[in-house]
Amino acid sequence: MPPGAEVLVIVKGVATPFSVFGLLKRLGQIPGVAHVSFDLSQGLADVLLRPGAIVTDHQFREAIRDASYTPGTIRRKPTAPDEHAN
Amino acid sequence: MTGRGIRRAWLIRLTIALVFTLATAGPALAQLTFPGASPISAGNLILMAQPALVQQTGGFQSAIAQGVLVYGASSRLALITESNLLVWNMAEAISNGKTVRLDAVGTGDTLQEARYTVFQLDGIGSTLRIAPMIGVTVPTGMDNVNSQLPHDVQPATGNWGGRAALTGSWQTLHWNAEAEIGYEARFPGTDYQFGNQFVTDAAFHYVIWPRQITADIPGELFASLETNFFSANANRANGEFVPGTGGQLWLVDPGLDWSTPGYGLAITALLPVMQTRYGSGRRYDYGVLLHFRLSLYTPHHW
Repeated sequence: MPPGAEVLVIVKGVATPFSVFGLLKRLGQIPGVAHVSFDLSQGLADVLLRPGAIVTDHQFREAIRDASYTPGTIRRKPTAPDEHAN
Repeated sequence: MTGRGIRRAWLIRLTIALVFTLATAGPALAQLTFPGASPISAGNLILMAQPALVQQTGGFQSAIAQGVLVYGASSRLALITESNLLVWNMAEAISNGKTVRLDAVGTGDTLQEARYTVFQLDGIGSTLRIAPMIGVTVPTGMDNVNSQLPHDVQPATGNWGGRAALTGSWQTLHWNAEAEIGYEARFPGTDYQFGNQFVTDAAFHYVIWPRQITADIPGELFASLETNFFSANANRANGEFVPGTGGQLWLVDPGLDWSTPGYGLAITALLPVMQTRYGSGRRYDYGVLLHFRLSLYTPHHW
């Protein structure tokens, strides 16, 4: 099964380890999200989706605002082709 | 009680009244540098325990275990409950030429506050926030556990009260600064009323480890320096001022703080820089405060 899509989201307002907790939880609660990590130094959330899952930019922005932060740019990395496909 | 017992009790109370004074409205604890106006996510539940020990002149000691619960009701609204779960005040008195140790142990009062972020400026790795706070003090504790000790040594006040404050936080990747200014009022209606109190705090935290903030750091170690200033009116008993209560206290609090996304640990010394009392009496020598934090999450929020 091909891996899920990867989405890179800039999040503004996160400056301390304590602040990361709520952000990870809110992003992880979005249906279709398999894993979230956060780079504090760059303000960058790396979100891995479940295979076939679709998560809109609006869902990401809403989750970030619920976490009390400000969403920045959202970039979707190209999905790797399925090596078993004909 | 026999005649000798009555005289002994009276002598103890008199001695304590002369030797011991405590502006209980003055703190045993450093004001929280946390949460200040720090971001609290909707659904974030933060549990904190803060045991503290304070030493005053004349052999008086106070041990307080405070519990704090912070709940992110929404992205801007946080509800904060602070309760003195256990207060243990220990005083020395002189009776018939002998030193007697007296204790007042019990639960303290509870402060329920709401904090709402009204200004927020976010950047990558930084945030500046301002939030007013409003709260009510509920007399949930024991205000008369030991009748041999004065009212202001009991674990709780017995007073309802209100609190209004304004707090601000400025956080960056390498340092944080917090400030808070507030006023606490005690409502009349009981025979013993603690004095109203003005409080202001400022805190600065600097990351001392790691030196470089990278993607996979487990947490951060901060060196912290906080300062607290309290100015309290004297207490009143049946409408009359109680001598030796009230005054000003200025603390400087150096500490260390280890913070991860899931939990935090801190230790802080509470050191008096300046103190004045309305009348003579015991003085604040020093205090030590420990801080434990655990972050939890609930999907329920507004």
